[in-house]
Amino acid sequence: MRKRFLTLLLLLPLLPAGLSAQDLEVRRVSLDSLVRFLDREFPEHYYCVQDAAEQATFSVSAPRAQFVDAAFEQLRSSGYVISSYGPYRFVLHGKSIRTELPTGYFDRGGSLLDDSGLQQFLAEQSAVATFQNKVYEIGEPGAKTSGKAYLSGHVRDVSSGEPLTGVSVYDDKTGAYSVTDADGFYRVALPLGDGQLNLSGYSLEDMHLTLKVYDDGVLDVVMKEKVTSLAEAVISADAVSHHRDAKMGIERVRMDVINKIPTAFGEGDIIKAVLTLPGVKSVGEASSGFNVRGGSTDQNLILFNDGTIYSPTHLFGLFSAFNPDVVSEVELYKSSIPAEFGGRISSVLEVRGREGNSNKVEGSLGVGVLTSHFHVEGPLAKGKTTFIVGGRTTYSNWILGLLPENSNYHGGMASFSDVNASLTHKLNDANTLQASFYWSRDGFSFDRDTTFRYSNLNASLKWRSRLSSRLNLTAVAGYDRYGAQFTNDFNEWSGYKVSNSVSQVFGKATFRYALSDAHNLSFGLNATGYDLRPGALEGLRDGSYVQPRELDAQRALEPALFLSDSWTVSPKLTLDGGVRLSGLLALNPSKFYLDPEIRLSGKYSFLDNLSVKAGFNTMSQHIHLLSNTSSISPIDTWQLSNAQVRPQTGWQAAAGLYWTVGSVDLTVETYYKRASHSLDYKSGAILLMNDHLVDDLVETRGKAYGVEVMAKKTSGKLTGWLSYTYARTLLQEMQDRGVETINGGAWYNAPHDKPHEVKLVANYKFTHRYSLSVDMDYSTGRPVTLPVGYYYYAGGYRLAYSDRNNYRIPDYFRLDLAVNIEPGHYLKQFTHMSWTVGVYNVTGRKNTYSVFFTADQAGRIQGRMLSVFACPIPYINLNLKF
Amino acid sequence: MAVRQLIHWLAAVAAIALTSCVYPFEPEIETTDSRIVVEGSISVGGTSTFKFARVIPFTASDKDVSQLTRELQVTGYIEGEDGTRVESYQGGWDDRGADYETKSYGGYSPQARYQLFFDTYLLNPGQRYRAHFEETYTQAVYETDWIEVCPAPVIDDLSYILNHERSELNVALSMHSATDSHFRWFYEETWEYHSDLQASHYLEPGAMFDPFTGEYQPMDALFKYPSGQNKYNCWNTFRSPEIKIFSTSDQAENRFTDLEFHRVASSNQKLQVLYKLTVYLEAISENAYLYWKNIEDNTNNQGTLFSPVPSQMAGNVHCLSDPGAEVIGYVSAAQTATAYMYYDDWKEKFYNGPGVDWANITIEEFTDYNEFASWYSRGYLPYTVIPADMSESGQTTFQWAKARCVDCTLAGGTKVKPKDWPNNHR
Repeated sequence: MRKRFLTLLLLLPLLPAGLSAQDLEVRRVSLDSLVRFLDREFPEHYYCVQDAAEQATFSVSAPRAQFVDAAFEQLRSSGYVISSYGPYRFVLHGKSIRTELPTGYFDRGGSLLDDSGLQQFLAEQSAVATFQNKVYEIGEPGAKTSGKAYLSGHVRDVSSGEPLTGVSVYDDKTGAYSVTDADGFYRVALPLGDGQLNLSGYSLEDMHLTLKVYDDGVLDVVMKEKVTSLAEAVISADAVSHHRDAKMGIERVRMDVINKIPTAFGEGDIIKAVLTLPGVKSVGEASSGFNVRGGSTDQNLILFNDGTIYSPTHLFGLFSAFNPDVVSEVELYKSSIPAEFGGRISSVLEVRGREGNSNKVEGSLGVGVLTSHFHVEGPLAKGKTTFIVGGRTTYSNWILGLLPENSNYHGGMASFSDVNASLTHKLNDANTLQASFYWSRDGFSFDRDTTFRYSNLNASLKWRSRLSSRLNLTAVAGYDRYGAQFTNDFNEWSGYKVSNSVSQVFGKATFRYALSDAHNLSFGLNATGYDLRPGALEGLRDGSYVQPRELDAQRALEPALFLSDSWTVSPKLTLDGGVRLSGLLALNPSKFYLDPEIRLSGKYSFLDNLSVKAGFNTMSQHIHLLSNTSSISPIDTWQLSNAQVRPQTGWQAAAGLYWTVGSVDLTVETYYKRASHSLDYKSGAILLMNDHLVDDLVETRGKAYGVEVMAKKTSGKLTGWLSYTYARTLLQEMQDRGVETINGGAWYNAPHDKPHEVKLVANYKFTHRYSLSVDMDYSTGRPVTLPVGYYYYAGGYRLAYSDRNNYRIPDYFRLDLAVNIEPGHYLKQFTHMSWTVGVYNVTGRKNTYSVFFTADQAGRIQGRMLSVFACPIPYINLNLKF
Repeated sequence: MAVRQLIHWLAAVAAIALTSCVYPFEPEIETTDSRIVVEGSISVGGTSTFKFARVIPFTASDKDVSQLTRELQVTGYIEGEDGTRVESYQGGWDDRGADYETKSYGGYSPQARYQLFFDTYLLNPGQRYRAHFEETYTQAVYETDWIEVCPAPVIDDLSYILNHERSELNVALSMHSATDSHFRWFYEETWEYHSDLQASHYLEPGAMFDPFTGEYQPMDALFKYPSGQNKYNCWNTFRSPEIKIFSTSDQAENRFTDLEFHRVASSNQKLQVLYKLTVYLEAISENAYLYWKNIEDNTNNQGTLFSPVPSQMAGNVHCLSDPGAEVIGYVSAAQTATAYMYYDDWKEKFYNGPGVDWANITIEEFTDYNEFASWYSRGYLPYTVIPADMSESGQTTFQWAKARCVDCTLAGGTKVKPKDWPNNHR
């Protein structure tokens, strides 16, 4: 197998040349620039492959007719070989530096030499690995005499060519710091003169580049994945972001880490991985959605390639909606939410899809117990266009057949499918277009009469542009849709079908501008147009008694403007501030809400490895999920704010301490949150097809506070994190409705209030091939509403309830283990096999999912608890690569 | 361009089962809840019955329950908007009060309730009424909202459909109403069944010994011959605790047709001989409908992934003496429509329950009638007597079988034949 493309490109600004119509001149330009100049000015096509070690600059001044020869002469003197084939000219570096070439070596119509030149070039590429030891010049000596220079560029993966997100790019001396964005783009301000640039990203090999900075410039960097190194590294990616970035409460998890976390069915699962992070909870093992720092499930903005995902799980939460084959990483913002995001008051979960390998076509095909999946990716036009396509489907409904008869699901069916596709096209060095598509469908029925169906659809087009050395733009436009349907065929004439949907069209433009060496601005605008169909009812056949009916559509426009600044006051002190002006124009009847939001955070480093941060955010939300179930049901409807329903608002204040000891990052974060105008139902409210739903809603306020302590280790034999969380989440009804007021108007536990939580995710490498993964989860049982008594009524015993969420189910504990066997390191071997053998819920603890009381036919009452995974579940995964 | 295709496939091989299970759960719930529960409706054109009880805390002992019950005595009246007033005419505990000792299949004893009756034959369906109650001991005063009378819906059909594929009998109801769109019904099942063996002779255990001499009575005194005392045919009645409600508010017409609301497996003994189902249907207000739905959700729709969070909904009875006190119950005013249907297995032959399984029936034969006491004490009852001239042994032979094979009352029924029962079995 050929090793290829370890390139580090050093691009210097092209100096404008051309003294007169006859004379051409370039001064001190790089090889790259010179060749581009030739390509532009002359009819032949010029190509070069630059040695990464090349630092030479060229100055050529000659009349147009002799310019090419003069340039070639210079190049030859620097050791380049010029090959020619028809109208094509190739400039390649020779094996050794030659001061002179044999006369007549360059022959315009001469023999075919290009092949040998290319081979020579390819043979040399493997030598680039030493680039950390060389000096890169940025700009021209003397171009700037004072101030700072901007260095920007893209960071990409060496083997696939995909952009690398979340890589810290920083200068130790001045504290200049930047993180690559979703496109792998970074920009830092550096002092003139000698300096060092460090790059550090999770599971990537750290890089330390020596620079000579003269002027603004572009430096694209490729990084490679860390070769399994059992030695401890000194600085981890998390440590860098902890001690450089003012933002807090950000968790980033890469897919390779997610794939090692054991799950019930052995497949890498993004939502399950997010649930292993401190501050993230769910109401139970089989439930869609999650709760971040006390927020409810509808307060999380879940973005997949910029599209909003309204239902992030399949099969009532057993699988997440994201195909792990096509995802590169996820980022969760639970405290400092950048001003560019808005619309939800609790958190943002950004799931980034991969662009596809730009070097070769590859794929995977999997057959699992419940699902099968495939993906294909690769270049369409090399260096220009890449694609990735993936899909998953369940091929049987037997899962529900396995459920016990008394679990209410016996005899039902359940299935899902999803498709992802993405096409990325590089228009030129500065402009890239990306089209993304996602579609999923789910269907399940619990008994012979009722069927649920729902589907997600997302399509978006993104344009990334480097407008100048200081300014770049990301613009996205797209369409998202979530639709659900519930069919109840209990009677020929009265059976019905109810459907609802949320559709939105959105546009986003985000500019990033380096105002000065200390200030990095981010600004832009978002606009989302909503079209909600809260309910449509129809009969199931001709002659039905059901009167077809549709609830009024809810339409609104949600514009937002935002501006934020990251201010590096000193290497020790960084301040981030932002404002977001978010509005909602609800239509029919018209109502306009304007919600200004602020985002503030600051960091102060006492030492290189000890920092403190504090932050304050306000948020608002204009779309609400109406649910009266503890786990979200697919048919739950979304409601836009309008003249009667106010936007939800919330704020969070947080502070944290970050201490890096060796390769362990210790974090303590504490927060206090308030939320207002969240919606709840009145007791006995009708969910479906309610024309006067607003009358059945009550507003609640929420408060949440907690401390999250985490130790994270990202290098060495042992990696992973251990966290403890103490968190409380309380709700209170905002109106007084007499005896019906929830818990008499007092604060009550939120359904996901689990005060104590201990989570451990760890991977221990015994050797380069064998590793053991552990996932442990303990939490206080969640609050439930239990009956306090019973009474005889209408022929049977009925349950009497009192205060809401006043009791707790037993504590939750689960331990999962998995052994991962990586392929052997034989490059010549045709197949590479990796295995994962694991057990989910090793101790077989019967964790309570829900408790309920049943009255039998004679009306006698018994307490019951449902355990979803009541015994150890073993699994084996086999990965075969060839 | 060298294109390398890399096929990467994942095979997950595991014999796993999704192992969800349901286990008993006994929470420790401390409470002193004793809200009053009012059940009843103003039955225009009939007698109205109201029953009163208190919520029984899970932690309550039988003694507490009995105390709660004894302390609850109520008087009351029903008044109309025009000033008409109907006083309650009789108070007392219903017969469940006698059932304390039958405690505990599920761990809780049935609850006795205080009941009041009202003669509401002459109320006018055209106006609103409300009920007013006062507790004798606590002097707490309760009153309902003004209630409109819902006229009786029309039952169009009540019939059964035999589903041979699923081996069940489905009972279906059809009805319509000119005015209302919310309905509630309950149903009562009555069925005749028989024991496996029809005994020709019956023992009177009380007459086994002579009360004066303490000696066995003569055989003839012990045996009764087939008579009204046979224990072969029995009747049983069951009032379903299920809450049956239906709303036609999403329909163009206030009607439903062939709505299957009850299933009986073909192997159920209810279908053995003759089965009767009676439906009591009322129209109710929208609020009453929501109240019943809430009770149903709270009691029977819990424990699934998408179960509504239970909540206690306020009814239309309020405590005037303590406005903060919650009262459980929803009082309606209605006229009831009634219908019944029969299933006759003699005609349909749908019942496929276990027939007489001779392999499982033990018949003991003996000739000495002095052994009666010992067989009786072992749970046997006489089946038949073979006279000496017909028996193999040449002696009078007594055949006895397990009591459950010859005594239908042991399966829960009674020998009290329901009024108007069409069969002439005894």
